[in-house]
Amino acid sequence: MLTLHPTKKSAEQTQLITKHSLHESLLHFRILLAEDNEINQKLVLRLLEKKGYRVTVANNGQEALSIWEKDPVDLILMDVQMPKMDGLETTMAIRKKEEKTGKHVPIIAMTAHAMQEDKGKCFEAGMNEYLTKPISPKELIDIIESKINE
Amino acid sequence: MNNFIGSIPIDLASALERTGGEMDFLEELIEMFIGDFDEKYSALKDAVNQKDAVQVRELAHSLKGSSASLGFTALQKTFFQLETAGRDNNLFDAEKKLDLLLSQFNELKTYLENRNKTEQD
Repeated sequence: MLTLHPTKKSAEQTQLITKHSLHESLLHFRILLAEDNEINQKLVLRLLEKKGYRVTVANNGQEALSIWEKDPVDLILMDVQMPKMDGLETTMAIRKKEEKTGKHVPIIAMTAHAMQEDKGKCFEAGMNEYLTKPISPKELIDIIESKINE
Repeated sequence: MNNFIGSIPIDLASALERTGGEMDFLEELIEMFIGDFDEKYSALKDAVNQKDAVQVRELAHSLKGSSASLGFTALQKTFFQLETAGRDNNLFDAEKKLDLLLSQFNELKTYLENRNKTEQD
């Protein structure tokens, strides 16, 4: 488990006061990042930690599934193409297990395939949202905040 | 450095945007990419020589992802072509693409080295 130490600049601080409730809720918001590419893993991890999220990293789908089973998180960022178990298979496995608990963790796909067909596959597998790679920090944070507010 | 105008091998502005404006962090990631390149390139070359299309697709996909994140536009394009070649099981001109990758990588390295020199002067 990676814990974060947010560094606040004065402008951010002012923003955090006005968004106090959001800030409070994100301190407890846990994200599982499933990504096999080391560089993209570091990039996304840094962006999330700077925002103050608690992030756990999985290097492939299998790892993501076993982490999620032991310690359910609030949101999953799921790379689609990963070795061992890809993002689609992992999502399907999670959704199947959730049938017993009635829970539903938001799963955000991250993929370089910008084609409509691939988008359809993500939704069919049970993913809720879709981010195109390379990841835009703004889109990433917006999508997570929209899930916190749901 | 001026020799590269018109064909700059890195889109620095986009790459910086993706690291949230952190230049040190971007440099760290670029160094990681450059440090790992030889090993990953040989693996890709082996896969091409063995005509292992699945492996070519997977390796090229991963390298395309890193290149895209770091703004290495030319490399990203070539890795994408190799990924597609792997997916279509058509490794016909994959060897040519390997040569192209190498020259694009060397161009990138030279560009970054010159950039650092200019900064130090």
